[in-house]
Amino acid sequence: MKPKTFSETLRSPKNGNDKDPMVATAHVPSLIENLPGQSYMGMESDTETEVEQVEGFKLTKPGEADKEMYNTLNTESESAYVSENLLEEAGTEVTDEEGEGGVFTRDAFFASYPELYQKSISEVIIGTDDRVRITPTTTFPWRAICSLRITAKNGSRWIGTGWLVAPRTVITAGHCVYMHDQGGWPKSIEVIPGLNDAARPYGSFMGTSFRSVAGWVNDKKREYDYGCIILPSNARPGDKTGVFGFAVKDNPYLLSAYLNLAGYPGDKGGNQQWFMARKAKSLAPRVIYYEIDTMGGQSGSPVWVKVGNARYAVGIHTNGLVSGNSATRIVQPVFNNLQAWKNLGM
Amino acid sequence: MPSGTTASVKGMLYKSATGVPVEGAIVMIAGGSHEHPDIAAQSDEQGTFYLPNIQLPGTYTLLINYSNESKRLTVNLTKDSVLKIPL
Repeated sequence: MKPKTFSETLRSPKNGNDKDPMVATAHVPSLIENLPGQSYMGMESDTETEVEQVEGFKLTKPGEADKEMYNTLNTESESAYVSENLLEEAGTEVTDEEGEGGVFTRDAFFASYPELYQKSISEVIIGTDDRVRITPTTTFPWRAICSLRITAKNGSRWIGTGWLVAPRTVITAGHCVYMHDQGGWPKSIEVIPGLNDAARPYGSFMGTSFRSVAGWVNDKKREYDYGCIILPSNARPGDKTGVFGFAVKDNPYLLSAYLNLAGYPGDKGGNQQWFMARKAKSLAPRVIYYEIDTMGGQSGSPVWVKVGNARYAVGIHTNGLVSGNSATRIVQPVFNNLQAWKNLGM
Repeated sequence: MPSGTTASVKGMLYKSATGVPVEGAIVMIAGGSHEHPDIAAQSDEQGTFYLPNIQLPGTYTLLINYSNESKRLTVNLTKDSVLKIPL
C-alpha cells in the first residue's frame, strides 16, 4: 500500500450549482474492503483507494439550495460549530475492546388488474447480484452503518439506511428525513446500528430531530437529496461503533477509486446488512453513478473509499436505475453541512 | 427523460384467498423506466403502502417481500393509479 499523499486544494465556496465542485486532489492508495465471497483480482485501481412566505409556496433563492432546513432544535443539546475549511473529516474507529462488543420467484400476473402486467425489464440489480452479506456486523465500519425504521408524519412506515459520523449524528438520504408526500418531516426514525437479523448489538435509538437542505425540502431536487438525524443527548451509539469520515474528491480520484456501499436492502428482509463494491460508472457535478447492486431500503447508505485504515464517505446512496444506481455526491456545500451536523452530534 | 410529474402512488396488499389486508410486507421498486428513490415501504394494518417520489407516468417492477415469500410484478403507473395487489 502506498503512503497517503493527499494534496488538498481549497477554493471559495460556491452555490449548489457549481459545475466544478471544490475538490481535493489526491493520489491515494485505495483498497477494497476485504470480504469473503468477493473477488477483485485483475481489477486495477488507478487511484488505489480501498473499497470500503404565501402559505404552501416555497422558493429557494439561487445559492441557497444547500441552506440547512430542520424540523426541531429542542430534542438535542446543540453546540455552535466551527466551520473549518477542511475537505476531509476523519472518522474514528473504536477498537473492539472499547466498543460493545430468498430466493425470489417471478409469480403469475394478476389478470384482474389491467394496470398490472408482466414484462421483463431490467432491475436495480445490474446483471448478476454480487452483493455479499455482512455478518457479524460488530466490527468497524459495519457497526457504524444503521438500519432506519421510519414512521412518516402520516403514519406510513419505511425502511432506510444511515451511517454515523459523530456519536449522535446519522447521515442519510434527504428523502428518509423529509418525505414530501407523506407529511414532510417524519414522526420518528428508529436508528439501529449494526442490525443483524434479530440482533441489535448496540441497541436502538429513537430520533425526532432532523436536518436536510432547501434544495431537497423546498425543491425536491435529486442533487440535494441528503440529510441527517440528530439523536437525543443521551443516545451516543457512535461512541461505541466508531464513525465514518467524509471527504470531497475530484473526478479523476472518484473514477479510479473503488466505491464501497453497504446497507439494509428490503429484498433481504431489511434486517441484514449487505455489501458490494465497484468503481464509479460516471460522475455529475453532484451525483455519482455506479453499477453497485442495491435495492429498496438502502437509501442513505454510505458510499465510501477506504484508504489504509481510514474510511471516507464520498456519497450518500439515494436512487436506483437500470443504467446506474446513484448517490448524492459529497461536494463542498454538502461537506460543510455534514461537518456542521457532525458537530451538532458530538 | 419523458416529461411527467413526480408524485407518490398508493397501494394496498391483501390475501387473495380471504381479502384480509397484509400488514408488514416490504414493498420496493426493483427496476423501472425512471430513476427512483431506493427506499422500501412497509404495509400498514390496512395493507396500505406508498411508492414515493416516482416519475409518472412510468413502468416499474415492484418486489414485495412478505412472510418469507416474495412477489414480483411490473406495473404501468400514472398519477391517478391506485394499486390493489392480491398476495
